[in-house]
Amino acid sequence: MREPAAASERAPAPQTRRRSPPQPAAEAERILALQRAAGNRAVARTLATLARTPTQVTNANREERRAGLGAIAWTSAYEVDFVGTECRLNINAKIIREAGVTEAEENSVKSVTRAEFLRIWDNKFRLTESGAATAVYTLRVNVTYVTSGEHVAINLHPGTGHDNRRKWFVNSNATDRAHELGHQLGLLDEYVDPDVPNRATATSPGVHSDHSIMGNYYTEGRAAAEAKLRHGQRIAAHICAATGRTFTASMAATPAPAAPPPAAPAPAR
Amino acid sequence: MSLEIPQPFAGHPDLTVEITTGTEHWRAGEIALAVGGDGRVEVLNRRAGEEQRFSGRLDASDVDALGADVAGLRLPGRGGDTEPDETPVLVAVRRDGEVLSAGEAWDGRRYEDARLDGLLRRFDAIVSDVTGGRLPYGDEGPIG
Repeated sequence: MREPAAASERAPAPQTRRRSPPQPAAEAERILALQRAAGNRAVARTLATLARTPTQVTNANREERRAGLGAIAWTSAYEVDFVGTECRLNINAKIIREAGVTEAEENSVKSVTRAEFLRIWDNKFRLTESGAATAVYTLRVNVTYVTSGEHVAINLHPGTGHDNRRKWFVNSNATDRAHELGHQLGLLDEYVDPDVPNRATATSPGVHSDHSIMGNYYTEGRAAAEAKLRHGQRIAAHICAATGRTFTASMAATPAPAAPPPAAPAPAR
Repeated sequence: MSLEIPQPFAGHPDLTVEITTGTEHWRAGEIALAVGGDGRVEVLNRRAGEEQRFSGRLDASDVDALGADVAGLRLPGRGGDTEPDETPVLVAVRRDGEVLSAGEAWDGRRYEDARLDGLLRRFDAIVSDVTGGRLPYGDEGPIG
């Protein structure tokens, strides 16, 4: 499942646009008209893609802790683009390798993290748009590793430690990183934390013990951790706010097949 | 305020250093390490309503090294905003159960504070040794 780092990286990354600059509207229309007249639909589609700019989605997330403790606060960010029947969500992640981490380790972390992120989050939700034109989009997700223009910068440390959204460890499990990227999607933790009033006990409103990827999957079983409808609904709400369009989230009927586990190293002979 | 502990720590069998990290319902749970001046070591792990205990011993030089790590350490508290999943760290020095000195911080502080990082590296090493590598990072799933 490993892929060359070069295939997964691009630079600079987009707050606006990383491909060629957008055509001025009138010029684009003129070219499109010509291509339509010529019947070259493939070229027309390519030009239409070039003229599209992804929408940047950000949200200030906050969860209060009890008195005397600081809050849990972060800004989630990613971009979305609507292509055909897909809503393509992408996180541009910049990995900053700390001392003691090899390039091979970095590439391995990138590869297994993307596979697990897609296993958990890709093709799990449908977004139904209401309004002038009703349409249904499949929410596809991706993480793109960039060297600039990142939505999130992540320090990659050697060995083991406590991962969070901006700090990963080489020996941590990839499910934790899929969980942390869930925070980058604007999702809150769902495990019991006595320091957080909304999650202070097992019956608190913010706690869910239904094999949520944002919950305590360490106890419930890491392999069973999955995305939940409430996650899709929160993501949809943030996309609505950013695009000015109205979407309703539902679970995808046919989830994408699970990614195969990373190949085990061949035994030494 | 800095933590206070008489030096050398191994000369004070009535004293205990307690270092607690984690939270009960996330990852490996809450892990509490207690090291006495006489070298006794106990690790209590609370996880999702269950608990497990481990015990061991440190030699005098390791006890003194831990005491030196703690002496004068300034912990800034947990007042600042954090990322999700941040881990609490609590350190206390007790004499016969009574708290003489205590402080707390977020685990992420260790990347800005070499002394805290050194103490937590020692914590990791002692816990790993006493638990046979099951903690603080290697274990998961329900206890028992």
